[in-house]
Amino acid sequence: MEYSKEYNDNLKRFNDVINFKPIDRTLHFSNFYTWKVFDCDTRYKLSEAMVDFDKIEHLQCEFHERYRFDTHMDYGTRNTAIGTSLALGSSHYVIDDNAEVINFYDHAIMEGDEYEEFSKDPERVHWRIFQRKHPGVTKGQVVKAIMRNIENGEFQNHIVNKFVTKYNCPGVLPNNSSVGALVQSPIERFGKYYRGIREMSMDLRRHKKELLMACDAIHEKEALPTLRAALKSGSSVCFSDTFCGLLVHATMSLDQWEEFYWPYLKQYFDEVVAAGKTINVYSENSISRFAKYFKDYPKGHIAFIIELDDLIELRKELPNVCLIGGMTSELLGYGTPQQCIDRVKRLEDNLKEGFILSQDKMVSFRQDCKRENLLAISEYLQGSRK
Amino acid sequence: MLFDNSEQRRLRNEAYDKLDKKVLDEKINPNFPDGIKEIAELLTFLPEDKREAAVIGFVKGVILT
Repeated sequence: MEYSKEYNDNLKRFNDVINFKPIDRTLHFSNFYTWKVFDCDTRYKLSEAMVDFDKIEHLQCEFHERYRFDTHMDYGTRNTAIGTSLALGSSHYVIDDNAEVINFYDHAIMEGDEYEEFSKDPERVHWRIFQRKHPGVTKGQVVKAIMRNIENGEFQNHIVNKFVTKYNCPGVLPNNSSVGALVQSPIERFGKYYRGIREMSMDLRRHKKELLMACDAIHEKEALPTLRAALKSGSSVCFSDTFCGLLVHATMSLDQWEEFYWPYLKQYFDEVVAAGKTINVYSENSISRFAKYFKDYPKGHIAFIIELDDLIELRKELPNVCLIGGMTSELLGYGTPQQCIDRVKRLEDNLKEGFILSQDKMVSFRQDCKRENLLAISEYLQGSRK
Repeated sequence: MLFDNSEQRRLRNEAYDKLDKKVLDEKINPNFPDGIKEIAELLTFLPEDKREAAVIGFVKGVILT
């Protein structure tokens, strides 16, 4: 696919920032999620803005045209998979239009004694736990849900291509193997989806050997092959070659991290660096406890999206990693436009190269941000555009 | 250009409408891999050689959501 000069220039800006080369302006990375629904000039319910493609596209494009971010973590598609779950008649998500929130319940659909079987035959275990997640489901419901899932993919491809071709925005999150790889330490799956945070935390002690066997199986059969295929093909619609999410690390001690988390993640990082590629890491919660594990990688390969950590302090520990973040939702939601601009200037002055401005959380709730503040930041950044 | 998958959607809906309603109303077979195969047979809007992988991928995707 041929891309415009403006798109290629934007892609180069991201590559230069990850390589700590100076560029002509500060890049602005959107970590905005459902806040976009509340900011939209057309009033949509949260529940309809997750499943109606016309509404999602409208509010996402309106958001981009108003604030002109350089890239978007979410195209309004983060929650379209909820539509698939709802087609199956049940979900661990609860959408409350009146309170304007989505909740996700910590849940255990896999039993503690199924790790060993999972390591040998994950598809068999998946089929069993699928039925625990969606009990009593009919064949027709499953077929309809698969049809819905295919539509989600079609829409995702459309909106990614639209942002590349119309708005010249490189993407963040590879959505399938054709545009890059999404890798994560295997234990993330057990905490987030199979066993839940509570059960997995106890499994670190009571099912340690079996849990490690299951992690090994995901690592060898899925994660490494996916990563290696992506490293060969590369991505041209995302600003990094690979993407990694960290969440479960926040529940672990350093000893647990060293045993259950880091050995896998290290191999992914090592392979990315050895291939001369880039990895973008969404670090939920805080990463500062684990910073020492990343400090020896060479510049030019790693970008971290930061939530709770102070970027200026973290820069001292990670002078080799491009940092994405810095704008607090506290300021966005409760500060003044001038306070927000002052913070951007402070970040620019202290971080210089290897810094992309973003928000310190997935901006989700109405009070997380005020339009006037985001407009002020956007106008300040536009002013430095050539 | 706004999203328009109406033609793909129409083809899938047509294929779905031709399926036996009694079969669609049946609960899924809990046994593996028979349950997977039975769903795959209903995905007539997909090429035959891609149906089983589509079900397996879907099941995993739904769990990881």
